[in-house]
Amino acid sequence: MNGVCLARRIEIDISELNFSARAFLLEDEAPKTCEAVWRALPIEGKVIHTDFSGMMLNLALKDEALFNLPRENEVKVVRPRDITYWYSYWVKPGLIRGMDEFAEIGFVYGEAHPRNFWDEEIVSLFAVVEESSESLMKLGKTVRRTGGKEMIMRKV
Amino acid sequence: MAEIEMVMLREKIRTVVILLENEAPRTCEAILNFLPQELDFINGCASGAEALAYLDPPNIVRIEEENLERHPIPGDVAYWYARGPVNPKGSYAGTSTTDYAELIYFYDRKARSTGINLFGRMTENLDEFCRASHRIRAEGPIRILIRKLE
Repeated sequence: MNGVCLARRIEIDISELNFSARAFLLEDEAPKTCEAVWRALPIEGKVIHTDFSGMMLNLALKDEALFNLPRENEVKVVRPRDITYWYSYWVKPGLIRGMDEFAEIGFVYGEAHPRNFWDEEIVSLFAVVEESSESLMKLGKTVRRTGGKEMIMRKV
Repeated sequence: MAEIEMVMLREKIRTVVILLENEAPRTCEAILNFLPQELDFINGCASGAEALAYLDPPNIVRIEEENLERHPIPGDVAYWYARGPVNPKGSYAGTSTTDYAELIYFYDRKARSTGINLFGRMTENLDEFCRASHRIRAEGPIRILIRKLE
């Protein structure tokens, strides 16, 4: 190895907050999730703060091609900069938050424990942000204080 | 029986809260002395359907634990004190570096708590007040005027 990372990268932009970051995909560890997300890019939506998992932002996925991905690189413990995938039917088929079948991407910016009202969650860890944890911390707390923000994820 | 009102200023939604003076006398007295206040309520990040406003120094009320509740229901109004010092890497998103407190209400059954001073119950317009609170995470904080009712 010559130290050059060949992983595919994505860019995350929140223009309202002048925030931009890059992340590399964990293609060896989560190949199907990475491929599905890559094919779906650009992904746009409103990123909002989680209400049970701690210091983590969530982006709900509307593209049904991103529903029902298999669990890969499953983790219960997450760290700042981790990007995760979660699908509602993994837990239990049916309505959650008044919605049937949905999926979301999680962006961890501090101490977080993926969970819902009932229990801890297992999530698929599929990417890691390259920027410092400090910039993510600032982003996460701003979203918490001021509400959801439009985000776009695209290929680099 | 003392009552307070909570008014969402932009949304123009009002509720009345009966204070639980027998169960939480010190909390009720301190909150009554603290009012009136206009506070921005954000969503909790680990408790579910919980809206909270930071009471950061110098605008802080310090009250010991009283009438602790761990299973809140919609319409519960509560107080919580964090002794500090604040962990800058923690989830707290206010301005204090020392201690802080929170005024809290719950707007859905899907909520949990590690123990808060339960001191009031919403008695009017609960459905509308709770429905509006569901929008905080997506749309941002709700400014609420809280004052005594004579």
